Amino acid sequence: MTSTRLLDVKELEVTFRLDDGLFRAVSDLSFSLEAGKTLGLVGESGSGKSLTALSLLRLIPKPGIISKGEIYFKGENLLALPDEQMRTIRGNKISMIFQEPMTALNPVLTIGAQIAEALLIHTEISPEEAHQKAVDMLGHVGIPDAAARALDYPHNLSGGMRQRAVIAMALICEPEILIADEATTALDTTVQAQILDLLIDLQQEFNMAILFISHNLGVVSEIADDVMVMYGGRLMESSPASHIFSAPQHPYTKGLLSTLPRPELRGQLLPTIEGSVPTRYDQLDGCRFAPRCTEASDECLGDIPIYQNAMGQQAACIKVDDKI
Amino acid sequence: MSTAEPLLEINNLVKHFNLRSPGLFGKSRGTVHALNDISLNIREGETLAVVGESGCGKSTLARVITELYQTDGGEISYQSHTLRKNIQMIFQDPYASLNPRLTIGDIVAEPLVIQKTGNAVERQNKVATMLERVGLQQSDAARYPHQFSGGQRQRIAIARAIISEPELIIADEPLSALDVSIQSQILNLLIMLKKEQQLTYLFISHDLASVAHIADRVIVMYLGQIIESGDSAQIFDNPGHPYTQALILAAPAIGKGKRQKGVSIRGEAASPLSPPSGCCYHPRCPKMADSCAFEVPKLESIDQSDDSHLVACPIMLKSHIQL
Ligand SMILES: Nc1ncnc2c1ncn2[C@@H]1O[C@H](COP(=O)(O)OP(=O)(O)O)[C@@H](O)[C@H]1O
Ligand SMILES: Nc1ncnc2c1ncn2[C@@H]1O[C@H](COP(=O)(O)OP(=O)(O)O)[C@@H](O)[C@H]1O
Ligand code: SF4
Ligand SMILES: [Mg+2]
Ligand SMILES: [Mg+2]
Repeated sequence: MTSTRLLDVKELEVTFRLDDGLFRAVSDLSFSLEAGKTLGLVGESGSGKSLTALSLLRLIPKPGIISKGEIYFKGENLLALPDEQMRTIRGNKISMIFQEPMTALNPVLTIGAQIAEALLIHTEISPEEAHQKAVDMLGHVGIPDAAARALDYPHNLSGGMRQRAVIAMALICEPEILIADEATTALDTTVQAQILDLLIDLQQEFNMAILFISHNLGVVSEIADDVMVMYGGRLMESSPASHIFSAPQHPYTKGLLSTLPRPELRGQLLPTIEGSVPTRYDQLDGCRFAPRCTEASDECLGDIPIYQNAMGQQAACIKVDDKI
Repeated sequence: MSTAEPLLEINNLVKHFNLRSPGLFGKSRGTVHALNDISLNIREGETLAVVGESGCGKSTLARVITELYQTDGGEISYQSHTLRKNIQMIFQDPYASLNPRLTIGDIVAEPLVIQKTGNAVERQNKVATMLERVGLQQSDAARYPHQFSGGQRQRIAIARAIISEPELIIADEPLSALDVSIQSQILNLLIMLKKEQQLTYLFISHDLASVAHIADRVIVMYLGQIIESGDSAQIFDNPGHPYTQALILAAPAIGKGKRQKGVSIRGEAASPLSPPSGCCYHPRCPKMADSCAFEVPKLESIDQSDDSHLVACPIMLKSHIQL
């Protein structure tokens, strides 16, 4: 299969201007998204996942800025676009869904009206047509009795149905990239499974690229083609999903996977990663995982290149085995 | 273990919430059957897990056992008066459960103060011991909650829960708010403390992986009812109820590879204000027969040779016995 690169992020850096100085929340992050493929982004809370996602839409909250890097969408650097042009991309070519569907929904507008609104903004279409398309999309994302639900307000729907409505809203303009930031985290297990199935179906139909962010490695393993692991605002590992779970390269990935409960260890003590994520991780020299890493040595405090092995796994660690 | 008198026995427990519109004489909006004819035992020294999706009644069960809520029927028998007065809880959110204005020392000592145990010096010494036992330092007693990470706060909550040497600890989603790398630290701590202090846990969680890891026995709830109970291995290796089977299948797990199409179950749990007739799971159930819409299933043993594995589904019970 030939790959169609839709998005190329190069050396992204996000900086906050805080009272006590600059905080580089994301550093030197490069990755790409391909049409029809899902990139999973995992990491503990505060590792920079959401800021990475928001960067693609140029929605970094103040006092933060994208302080370095380029983000090419079909060859065009989004960071160089005038605001007006960026607005035609946001919610149209690149859409995002969040953990809490209510943050994306307006409580005083009907579901149908909200979905139609995106169409009215981005396309030349009559309100009647827009409403009909909204109803069709609601049916498409698995909401039963879509014509009636389109007239409901958000609070009339269950959590799972609301998240479906948000997905309908994100997809109504047929975006080329969908960003899902912890989009299934607040849902019950069986509903989460339904939403994952829905995303997989819709991706096949629309050939979207999906950036799927979650702290849950199990969920990511069920939807991602490739997986990127972040820690302390940096890339630790980026590998095909077919390899990262069976042959993790970076000590952090290895550590994370080893801590998960599994049947052979029932009732026994689990391996742990001691300590916790430091808040001002940008002040650490070298590898940011070094203070918690069992393999760390003095060299880890210097510059850490990203190595790649024959399986296409990239790891920012000087201890990885077969480096290329 | 099964011959011992249970620490706690619950029979036919019922808890309703009458929902009203706002205002003193607000209109009734119906009744939530949060706990519907719940019977269970908690045995001394075991970890009994309660699993099920949000709204199925897990936290209500915890609140009824700790007498934060009155019951609307049924009974709870505590093995002793001391047990009844000394059941401690660990909650999901270590940010909300610790008073930000109190020092860690005061927070951890609280159960002793409430129970009027020891003098100030004795309590201080005990706090120091507990902090070390949960992996913190004695000097942390002088600090405040905001100076600690989420995982450390959950350790503080655990220190508070164990200081009065309770016979039963109820942990309501104690891992859900924690990061992946911290969850295993806290699971290990719970396992170690149980051994050191001969604790009994009621472990409430929607995360099947941690339940499979820590529980001796498991109760599965759906819409206020117990639909299956059994030893951990019975539930996870040989689930009997279609809902338990669906839950296990839906639980995200590494090693299954990318999802195969169409494995998820349909629909969502019905509103607890108007639970379905018959088997409360029947609108979603792939095994449903006509009788399921009106016949209320009873928990029955799925294995005639012992009564440890109970399933509330006549269809599965029948097919199992025929096998
Ligand atoms: N508005 C903000 N102001 C200051 N710091 C922020 C802001 N938003 C995020 N950060 C910091 O940036 C880091 C990464 O945050 P985020 O991308 O939200 O992490 P994640 O999504 O992985 O949990 C965290 O340390 C966080 O505290
Ligand atoms: N104080 C309350 N007032 C009204 N309804 C409640 C109250 N507490 C719980 N409920 C309802 O009872 C049901 C069970 O809730 P809960 O025990 O919190 O479930 P779980 O902990 O399994 O998520 C839900 O439908 C919930 O909305
Ligand atoms: S009783 Fe019927 S509806 Fe309920 S779980 Fe069994 S087969 Fe399904
Ligand atoms: Mg985030
Ligand atoms: Mg609860």
